[in-house]
Parts: sequence; C-alpha cells; structure tokens
Amino acid sequence: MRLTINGEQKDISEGVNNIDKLLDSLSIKKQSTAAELNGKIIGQKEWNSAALKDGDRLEIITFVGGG
Amino acid sequence: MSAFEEGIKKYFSDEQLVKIRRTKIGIAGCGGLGSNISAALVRCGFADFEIIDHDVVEASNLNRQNYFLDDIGMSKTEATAKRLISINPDLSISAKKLFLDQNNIAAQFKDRDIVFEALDSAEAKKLFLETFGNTKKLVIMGSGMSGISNEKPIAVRTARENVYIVGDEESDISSGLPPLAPRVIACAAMMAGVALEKVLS
Repeated sequence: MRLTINGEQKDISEGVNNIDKLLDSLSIKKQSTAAELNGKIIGQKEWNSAALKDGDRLEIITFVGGG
Repeated sequence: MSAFEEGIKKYFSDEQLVKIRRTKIGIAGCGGLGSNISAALVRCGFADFEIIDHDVVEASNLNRQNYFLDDIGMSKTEATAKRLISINPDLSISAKKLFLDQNNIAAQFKDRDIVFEALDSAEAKKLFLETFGNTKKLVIMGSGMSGISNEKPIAVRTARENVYIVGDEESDISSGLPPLAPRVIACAAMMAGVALEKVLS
C-alpha cells in the first residue's frame, strides 16, 4: 500500500494497517508524537483503530522538549 | 487610552489595530516561550489574554524568561500579568494557576481565537495538539529551541491549515542542551509573529 507520509510517498507492507503499527514499523517514539490522517488529528487512543488504506495522507509530528 | 496605545498608532492603521485588539489569545505555559511570546504580543497591540501556568519564578529562570529579580517566588502567571500591564495597562488578562493535564486541558481556552503551546515537555506538546488541533482555533506551537548552535535554524512549519510549529524540531532539552536566551527568545518572537501575520492577513 502506498501512503503519503509528511509529503513523501512511501510503500508500506499490507500488514501495517493502522497508525499504531505504522509508527512501530518506522521506530518512532510514540509518547512524543502526534499523528494526522487525511487532515484530522487522531489521538493516540485511536491509533489502534485508525485503519490505513492505499492513498492515505499522514502527517507525523514528533515533538522535542523545551519551552 | 494609554500612552502605549497612542504610540502604537505610528505603526498600524486603525483598521489593523481593531483586528489585533479583538483577537482573543490563550497561552499555555509562562516559561521561556510563554513569558516572551506574551510580551511580544502586547508590544504588537494584542490586548486580550488568558494565560495558564502552575509554576513560580525561580532564579534559574532569569537566564531566558521575561522576569526580573523581584519576581522570584511569585507565580509566573501573576508575574507575567504584572509585566504585561507595565507595557500597556489597557489589557484584559485572565491568569490561571493550573498544571495542564489530560483531565483539564480540553476545558481551557474555550473562547480563544489563537492558542499558543508554550509547555515544557514533548508529551504535553503532543497533548496540546491532540486537544486543539481539530478545532477552528489557530494553534501555534514551539518545538526545538534549546542549545547554542544555530546550525539548525528556528523555522516556521505549517503542519496543517491551522497548526504552525516553530523551532528546529530537533534540539531537545531532555538530551542535555540548555535552554538559553538567544534561541528561546527567537522562537517565542517568531511564534508571536505568526499570530500577527495571520490576524492581519
């Protein structure tokens, strides 16, 4: 399946079918990351149920501390 | 009308000042970012604020935060309100001493047009975006402004239509980089600049 992640097209294996699995597969630090799927911010509680399909657009935002 | 409001007329038209003054600002956190964002916004003519922080001013804050020796020990919201009013007394400021967490954050900033994320931890920044990202508010966030190196510049990124992230998105305070005045204040000033640009566009 082909996704657009932060503006770049990426081929992702079919088993990676939700946001939670996608972040695992990309080794992204989940506790400091927010995700947007097709224009909507998806809270972490919904990452397991947020199914991914071919053509989806994702924005993955990993924050760093300091303020 | 205060002397400040007379003075600022030199730089903005009446129409622009109306737009600026009627904008309702919310700021989560009054540390290095929040104390400096709020001062920059007041200097741009913004006049309606809700500020939230749980902390008190400590000596170690004075290296970058917009506080002074006689503020030490005072709550940051109270000290910020005092400093902002000393620039322009014609302000509406609601100051709330509160530690924002997942149980109380959604109830905040209900009537605010623009909300600033000026919190310490990456986890709190994430919570802020998950809470306000899908609203119609303009969300302005800071991520990556620690250390002394300018190799990675502080930049403004549009993460989605209403969400702007300011910083280098890499320099992490938890990796040991100290928070210092030049980059923290630069980041805060650019965050205020995003608000001004959007309000006047």
